[in-house]
Amino acid sequence: MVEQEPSYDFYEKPSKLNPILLGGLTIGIISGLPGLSLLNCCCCAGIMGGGAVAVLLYKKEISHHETLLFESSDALILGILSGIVGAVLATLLSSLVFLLVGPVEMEFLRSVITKLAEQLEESGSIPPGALDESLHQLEEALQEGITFGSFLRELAISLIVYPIFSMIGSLIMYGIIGRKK
Amino acid sequence: MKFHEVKIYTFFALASLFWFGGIFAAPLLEAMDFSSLAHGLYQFYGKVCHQDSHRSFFCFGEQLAVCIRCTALYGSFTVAWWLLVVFTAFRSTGLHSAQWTKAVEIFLLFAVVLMLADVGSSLALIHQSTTVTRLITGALVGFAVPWYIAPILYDALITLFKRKFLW
Repeated sequence: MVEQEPSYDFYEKPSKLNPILLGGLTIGIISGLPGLSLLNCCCCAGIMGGGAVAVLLYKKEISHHETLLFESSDALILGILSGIVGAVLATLLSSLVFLLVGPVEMEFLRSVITKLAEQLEESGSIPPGALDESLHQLEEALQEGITFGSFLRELAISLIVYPIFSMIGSLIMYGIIGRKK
Repeated sequence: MKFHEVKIYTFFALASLFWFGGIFAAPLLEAMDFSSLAHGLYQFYGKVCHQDSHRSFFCFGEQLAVCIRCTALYGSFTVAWWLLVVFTAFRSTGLHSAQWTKAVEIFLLFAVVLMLADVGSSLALIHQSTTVTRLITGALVGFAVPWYIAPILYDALITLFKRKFLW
């Protein structure tokens, strides 16, 4: 019996469009929705998660084709492009939420920090007024509105940051599931 | 091949250094009265960090652009990339071996679990994370990631270069 050689012709590979869009959507929802976006405070976990989702989905798709290899370059492309899609979606979604319901997340953060400060001050863990600076920063952020300029600035920053972290997430996920045969 | 690997890792080491430098550039610019530039940098790093002043170091009388944990993470991330450059320049193989990959995988897992435990227990008010725990957990994760992703990134880039970046 002749064993079939794995194919390296990447033109035969399934389209990456769906995994990229779904990975980008994951990033967009996590980063664009108030509350959920706090997940990104933990080393951009939401953005890295989106890149990882894209790799998972593509791995699932490519595993139907026994002769095709899932390569690290696929993971790299999936991560970067998911990050770009995610950056656009997250900026649009967060701006939309801001326009519709106002700065919900900032209000939420302010209430959490106020409660936390009260608890910690009562227990003596921190001196009174230690979190005043954080609250002041949030107050300033609450007063800032959304303009076309700020939207473009947000988008530009996201287009730099998101692909980097999404790429890291996709490469880690590739390391976990992709290179294991 | 080794030459390409050193070049690629050097590029990422420089990029990491640039990123890490930005964390200190923000307070420096603020202290030098370049407030709009500093504000732009704070906004940029605000995408990747909560920037809580209570959990941040201060430099030049101003808050660093990211919190203590993130500062440690990006600092050790940068150090790890430079060590990778040195390691690759002096050793031809090793990073791509199965044994090494397994060891790094375990180290990364350990670092992530440790950081999640520190963050989780702090959020659940079981144990209040301190500057030391934030520094250690952030530094461990930041140090582990480049060792894990570098060989994968190198393979990916070499494959793409061979294919002239077509996908």
